Amino acid sequence: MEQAQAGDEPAYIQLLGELADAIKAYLLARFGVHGMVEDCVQECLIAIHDARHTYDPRRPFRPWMFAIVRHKTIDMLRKDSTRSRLEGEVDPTSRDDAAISALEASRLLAVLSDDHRNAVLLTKFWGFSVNESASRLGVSNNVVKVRVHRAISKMRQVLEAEEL
Amino acid sequence: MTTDRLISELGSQLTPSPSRRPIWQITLLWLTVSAAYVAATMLVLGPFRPGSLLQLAEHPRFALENAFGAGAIVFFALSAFFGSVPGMATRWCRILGVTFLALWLADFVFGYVSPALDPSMFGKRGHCALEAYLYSVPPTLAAIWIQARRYPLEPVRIAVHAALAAGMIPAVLMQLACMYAPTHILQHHALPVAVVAVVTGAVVYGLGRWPLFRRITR
Repeated sequence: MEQAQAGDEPAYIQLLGELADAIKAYLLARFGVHGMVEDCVQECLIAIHDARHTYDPRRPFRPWMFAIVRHKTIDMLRKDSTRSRLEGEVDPTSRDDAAISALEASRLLAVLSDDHRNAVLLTKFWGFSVNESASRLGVSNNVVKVRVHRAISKMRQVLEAEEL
Repeated sequence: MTTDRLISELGSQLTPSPSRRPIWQITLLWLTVSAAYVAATMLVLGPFRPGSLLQLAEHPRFALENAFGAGAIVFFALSAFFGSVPGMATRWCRILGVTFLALWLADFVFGYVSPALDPSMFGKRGHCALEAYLYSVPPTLAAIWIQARRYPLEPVRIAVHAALAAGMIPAVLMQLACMYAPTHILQHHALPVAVVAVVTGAVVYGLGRWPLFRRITR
């Protein structure tokens, strides 16, 4: 990164390539196989590019990078489910069972209560609207919103507490 | 777009980044300039309460009260500026800032029973609350500008901390410049701190939803 800050383009491209692999591995370990991962890697790379002037070479690189990655990951989770709906015009229930199992088994979602996990899975991963999720779960729209908000807060706490 | 193509594009946009001062130096500079500016402006607009410096030496609890306030300023400022750089540890600054602020306020509440100094209208300034509001605005704006030029991951939180630090500077100096009475201090010196922090948080939240703001400040 120090070379990149000095304007060394080949070194910067090599660094971004290595970071893309590291971020992808980090996200796959937490979210399992999911279409969001590739988008999230790209968002993280853009954020790292925008924030590169804030890196202090006298300080360790990993905390700086993973702070950005965690933040961008949470951001992506918060985004409206519209994008997922546009991407997945197929029936969400027909998604690959193995991918869903991997997703459900992922460590990050495992820390959530059943109610919170279901709310996040329906709205953020499978692309249902709040209204649709509420009717599937048999609760009001506000309850779904509150559950999603609390679930994301919990996941943020877990990510922030991780030793990197 | 594939990730490989994105990496090539980001590489082609690479420009050398100018080296910046370490953030602790920026924090120290901001604290020094802000405190000097507030103190100087207060002196220009009215005298400090006669004998207030002597009271600091003679009344340990009054000195402790001011030390709590000064501690809150320092730790909120550290949290505000360290939070503008990804990966900097700010939790301990946050905890200490809130602790010192709570102790500072608690001492005034306890002052209803047993004040640090005898309550008196001696040294009262005509518009101390208005002064407290006005003095905190330039340091708050300067802090937000500095933060925005880095890469704040939680802009609202660190802007509120900057506003708390900036608002506390006149509030603590008013301890020496204005009358001493717990009720007056809470209403006219401490309340502006809370108002400035809430307004700053709301404004930064609003600006954050306006992409042009981020583009201008980068």
